[in-house]
Amino acid sequence: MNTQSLRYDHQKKILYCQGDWRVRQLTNVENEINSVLKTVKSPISIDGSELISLDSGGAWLIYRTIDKLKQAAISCELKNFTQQHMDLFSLLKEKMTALTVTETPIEHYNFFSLIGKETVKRVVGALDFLSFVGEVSLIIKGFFVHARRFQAKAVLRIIEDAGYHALPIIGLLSFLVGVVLAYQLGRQLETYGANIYIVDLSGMAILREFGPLITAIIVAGRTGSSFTAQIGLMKVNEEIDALKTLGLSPLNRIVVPRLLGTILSIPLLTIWSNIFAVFGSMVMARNMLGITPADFLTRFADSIDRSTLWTGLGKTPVFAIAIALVGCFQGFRVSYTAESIGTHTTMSVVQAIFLIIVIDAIFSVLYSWAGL
Amino acid sequence: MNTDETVIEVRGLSNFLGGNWVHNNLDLTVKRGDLYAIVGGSGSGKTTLLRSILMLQKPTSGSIKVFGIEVVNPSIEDAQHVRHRWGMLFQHGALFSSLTVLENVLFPLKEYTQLSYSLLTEIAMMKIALTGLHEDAAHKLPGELSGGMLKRAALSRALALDPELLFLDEPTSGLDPQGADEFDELIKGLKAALNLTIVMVSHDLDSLWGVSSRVGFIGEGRVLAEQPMASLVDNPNPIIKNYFKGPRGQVRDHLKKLPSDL
Repeated sequence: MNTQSLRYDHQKKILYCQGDWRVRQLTNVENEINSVLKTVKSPISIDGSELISLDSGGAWLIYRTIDKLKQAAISCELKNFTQQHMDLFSLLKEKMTALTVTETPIEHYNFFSLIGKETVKRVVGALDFLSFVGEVSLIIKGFFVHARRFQAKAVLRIIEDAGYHALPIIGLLSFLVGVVLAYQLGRQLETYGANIYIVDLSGMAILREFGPLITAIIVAGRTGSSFTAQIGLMKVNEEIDALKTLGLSPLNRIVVPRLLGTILSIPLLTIWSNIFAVFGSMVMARNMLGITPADFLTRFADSIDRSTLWTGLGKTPVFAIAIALVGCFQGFRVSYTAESIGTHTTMSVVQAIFLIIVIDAIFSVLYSWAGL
Repeated sequence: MNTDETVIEVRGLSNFLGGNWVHNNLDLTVKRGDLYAIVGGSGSGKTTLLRSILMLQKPTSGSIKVFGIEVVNPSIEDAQHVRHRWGMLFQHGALFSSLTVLENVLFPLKEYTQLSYSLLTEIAMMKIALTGLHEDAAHKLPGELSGGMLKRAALSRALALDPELLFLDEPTSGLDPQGADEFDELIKGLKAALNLTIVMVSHDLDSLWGVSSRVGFIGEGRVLAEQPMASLVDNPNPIIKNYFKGPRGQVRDHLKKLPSDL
């Protein structure tokens, strides 16, 4: 729609507004007005007789034109506007006296102040997390002392959500990882004719590393993020404040069930994951290396002792604590914007997975010292 | 402009929700220039009606015409066309929480106009000023505003594209009496200045007396009466009588004989 919105009569010094002066229809009018204003040196009038419609956006354009002329000490007269349009102008005049238009201030930082800000933010975040862990530990102590308050139902619901509903996805992914692992190992072993060792290698790797790690990462993505989003929304809805005013501790009611539920779920899920991953490598070992399931299982029972399972499972409660605490902590840090729920959910997953891998590395070092 | 023009025409609207008929063959008509208030008890389907008109919820059956365009199963073009001509003030503002008030008002302007950014900023500031907010409020986030300011900010966003039709969902709920009075005045003033047709859902009897030109009373899934406030309170229908019978309904009773300046 590039119809002319105005016409300037140089002889009579009249500026005619034409057509639809509605904010959605106007396009180039700003430049047209400016080019007219440049030529104007003496008093002019603005004529509204050719207007089809005028909304408050259009009225503002005319109003500011008059204002600009006034600043240039050129008087200006409005002609042939309807009463309603004149009312609109006087309304703008009345409301505008106190108002000056300013741009949103943009803050500028230099490189070093940005580094400083970020550092302070991280340190404060880490300290906050530490104090959160401290508070939760104190609550946990009380939690078992007052056994009457033990909320078995809440814990069971978390186990259902974080554990039971995760069974299919963890089973499937573990099976696939088992297949991939056996395939990669099998290719190497085949060249040495050491086919049967596929059982030792994959069994060891799965029970000690892959099972716990896959489970923890999936739970961090599924459950840690949902903790953050749930708690974040509760905070925005003032549900957290409601708990506080009722004299109930949000940590007690919200964090502890989630923590316990996750701690109980993850080891069980890890066993589930182990089963499927071993099954995956068993399938691959049969197809690729010709090891029958019966041979595979016999060898498995002979060569993998129970301590292998326990070294793997031993790490999982620590993973669970990291996932649940980070998820809940990020939830409590949500502020009152929709954006911050997203930011903190992302942070919760990223930090949980980061911690899982760090913890796993620490365990590897510890186990190697202990000679396990 | 034809003042007799029908802006909203609802015919035979039925809504079946959660095992209940919320609306059953509901008819409603809003003419240009009306300040039409929708009232009714809790759960009578006021919000569902508003959501049906706003195309936020598809009715079970019936026809709704806005500006003469059918909005039940509309074409995409028709739906957009209608949406550009109305504005909605949500009960809790529904401002975008991560944008400042100014950015909230600018958002639809930037999306749907071809004017320069600086001019749009001026227009947005003008809208903010029209609703009686101060300039410093414009740069605040919605989370930092009080209830009254939030409603005004939300109103400026609803007015951003100069709609012909404005919907207000409980505009004075959550405001103190003085704030509610001021908001009523604001709505009346803007209606006259911007030539608006307004549809509002309200429980606020002062507001109903003060600003509405016609009231549609919803009960039993239908519009039981469509008349000005002054005659509505004398309606013999037992549901309507009951609604206005309480002490709150009586307060303004003696005032209704006074000449109304509407």
